[in-house]
Parts: sequence; C-alpha cells; structure tokens
Amino acid sequence: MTCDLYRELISAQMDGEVTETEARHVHAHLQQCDACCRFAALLLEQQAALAAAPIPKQPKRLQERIRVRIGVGAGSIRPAMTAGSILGRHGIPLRIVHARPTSRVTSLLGRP
Amino acid sequence: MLSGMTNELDLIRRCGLGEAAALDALYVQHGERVWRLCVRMTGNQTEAEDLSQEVWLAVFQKIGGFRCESAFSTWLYRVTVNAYLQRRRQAPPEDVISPDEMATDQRSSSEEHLAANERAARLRAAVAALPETLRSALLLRVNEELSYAAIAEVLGCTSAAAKMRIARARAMLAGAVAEEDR
Repeated sequence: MTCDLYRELISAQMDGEVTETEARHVHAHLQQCDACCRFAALLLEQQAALAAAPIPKQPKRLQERIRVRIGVGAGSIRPAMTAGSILGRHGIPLRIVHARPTSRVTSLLGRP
Repeated sequence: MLSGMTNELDLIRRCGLGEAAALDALYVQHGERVWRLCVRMTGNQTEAEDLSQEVWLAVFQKIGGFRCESAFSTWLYRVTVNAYLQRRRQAPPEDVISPDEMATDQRSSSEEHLAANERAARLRAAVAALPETLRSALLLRVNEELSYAAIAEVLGCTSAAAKMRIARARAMLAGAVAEEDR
C-alpha cells in the first residue's frame, strides 16, 4: 500500500471510520514512516484548529427576518440552541511532538 | 429520545400543513445549526445571513415533500448545502472575513494569541480555497460531526466518496499550510 492510501486511512481513523484491521495497518505503518507521522500530526493539529474556530451568534435581526417570513411576526425571540448543546465536541490535544512523533501520533489516533 | 423524535415528526407533519407555529418551533430547534453551517461555508457573516434566509425559505417550501426517509437534520444539511451551491453557481464568493471580525468574543492581543490567530487565518484561507465538494464534506465531518454515511446522504455520493473527499481535503490543507511554513 502507498503512503497516499495510508493517509486516506489516517484521515478515516481520525473520524473513527476504519475497521480494526485497517487501524492495525495504520499503526504498523506509522511505526516506520516518519513522513506519514508528520502528516498525521499536522492533521490532528488542523482538526483541533478547525473545530475550535469561533462562530458568531445568529444575529437577532436575522432571527426576526426569518420569523417574519414564517408568519409568526416580530414578537419576542426565544433563545436559540447553542452549538455545544446540539453536538458534543471531542477534544483533540493541540500539543504535538514533532521530533519523533510516532508514539505520540499513534496514541492520539488510538492504538488498534 | 423517542418522544423527542415523535415531537419532531409531529412538527414536520404540521409544517407540511403550513402551520406557522410549527414552522417557528422547527426554526427555533434548528436555526443555530443552519446558521453555523452557513457561516462556515460562506466565511462571511453578511452572506451567511442571506444564505440562512434562503435555506429557511427553501425548507418551508419543500418540507411538505420530506418523507422521513432520512433524519430531518440530514435533510436540512442537504437543503443548506444545495442552497449554498446554487448561490455559488450564480455569484462568486464574497471576501472571507476573519472570525475575530465576525465573532463577538474579545480575545487578548498577547503574542501567543496573535500567532494563533495568524495560524487560524491561514488555515481558514486554505479551507476557503478548497473545491466546494471537498470543503462541504470536510465541514460536515469536522464541524457538524456527521458520519461518512450521513455526509454521503447530504452530498448525494457514496460513503467511499465522502471518505475520499475528506481525506483529500485534509491533504490539500496540510499541503497548503506546509507550503506557507516554508
């Protein structure tokens, strides 16, 4: 299997979408491929940064406009659900060891 | 859980009959979810507001045709992504605005935060530069935490294609960030 295919599996493993066999293959590959280890570390860092990106609250004027279009008028606006209340977040550590990342990365990805 | 689903199905049924209070309740339940995806897809608050309105208008027009064959949230994501793609076909994207400009939270201007903001801005620019199909798949996974099967349903592709799109998006981001670091 090429590194490109392993990287597709590394991505899928971050999302919990690999089989046990695939996870074992990824783990074994990361033991011997520094480039894929660095790639996995970068992906984990990116994932954390993307998940943590702030989102402004839905403006009240927008809620008013939409509710007017629904036909319930410009009455009092009920509080909307927060992002955190709808979907839980999986915390991913931001600290990545770059020097010899194999053990760190494989532990972050979860051993098979 | 079951009663929550029953309530939602009842709401959807009443929405299909044009009951304004039911539409309003559905909007209250899911408004923030749609808003988040609109902001992340457009990267621009003004455009996200327009898109969010278009999405809800489409929801209200199409909900009578919702057959409960998928989760309502999946259907809602599909309507959102389709409205966004429709918009992109008609007009180029507006400028991406940094979350510091958009978000209401005030952060400290310490060096650490400035560096983090700079990294975040670079990453956001790289995300904005991704092809639409890859970006949609990535955002639905990373920010909305949808499974590959659900993403496939939203985007109208196979799970294998969703998996490949996400991996490709991540690889492109990694390449873009590594390029900037050189």
